[in-house]
Amino acid sequence: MSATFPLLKTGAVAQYPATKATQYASTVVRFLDGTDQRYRAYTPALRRWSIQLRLLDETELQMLAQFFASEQGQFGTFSFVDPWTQATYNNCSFDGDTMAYQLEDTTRGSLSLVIVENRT
Amino acid sequence: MPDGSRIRYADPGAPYVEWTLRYQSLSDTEAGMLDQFFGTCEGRLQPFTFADPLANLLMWSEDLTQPAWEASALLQLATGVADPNGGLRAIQIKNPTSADLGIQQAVAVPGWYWYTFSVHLQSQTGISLFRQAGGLTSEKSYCTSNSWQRVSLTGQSNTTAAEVTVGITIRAGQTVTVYGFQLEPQTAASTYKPSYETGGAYTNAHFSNDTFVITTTAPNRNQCALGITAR
Repeated sequence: MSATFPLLKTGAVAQYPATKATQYASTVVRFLDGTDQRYRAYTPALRRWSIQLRLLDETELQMLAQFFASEQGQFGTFSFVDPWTQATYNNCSFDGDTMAYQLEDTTRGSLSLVIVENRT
Repeated sequence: MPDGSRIRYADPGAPYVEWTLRYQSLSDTEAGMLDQFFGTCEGRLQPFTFADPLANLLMWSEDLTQPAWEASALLQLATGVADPNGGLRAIQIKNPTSADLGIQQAVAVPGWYWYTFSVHLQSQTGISLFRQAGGLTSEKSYCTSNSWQRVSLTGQSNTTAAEVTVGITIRAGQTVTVYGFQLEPQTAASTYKPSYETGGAYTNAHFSNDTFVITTTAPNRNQCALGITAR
């Protein structure tokens, strides 16, 4: 069973502003007369979430850092609950191998994460 | 070329139109609707009808003899009449019969949008503007003077029809001079934009990319951008 992306103390998974992308994959072959032929490379769509977190305390930052370490960056897979639809996506990963965070005060931590849905 | 000259070829298949629509302060419902529509189209894959919000949706706005216009054969058209912009692009329409006659154009755009149909008019008698969609008709009568006046009909129809027809009705035995027909998906008439062989209704538009990005900035406040292409 895969891990689940941790929640903040508030119970939320994201803060405002948050960005969600839906990615389809079509190939368009354009002909000399200007017409085109289109076909899909895969379906259904893949999703991607950009999460910016601010005003985190040290405990929350530590929890997220530990989770990132346990996943070994983009290597591991985990479940993620879409904050817009509350739908659970069971095969997600971080989009990169680096997690940088700032701690300006004991309750003023911030970081950005990008989570992507993987195709099974 | 090495000598600095250039060889140029026309490519008739190349032209296309592209729009970038940026939305801000969308409600969750509105953002969800766009997200769902993008999903229905599967990004770039499926075509849809797009009414250019900046264009005149009518074709041949100054040439009522084109097949895009459906006019009674009994109407007498005289072109080259002085228009309100100082040109000679107005058209005089005479109805010599004892019955009201119309001239109209059908446009393949959603019937449930808000539209404004407008035309410059010079007539001492009454004239009616009408809009039809899905069997529903809206009509507005105007009495103008010898001076040019721009008249318009704005409204929305409760229908799922995929076609809107707009036109004017000339009363029996009357003569009117018209210039600059315009239909636009807006709630008021904008500056007149002449149109020719293509109007602003595109029935084979596509999203220009496969990714839809939406940013939620606060509760019930979303922003996104959509690219659309059509030819």
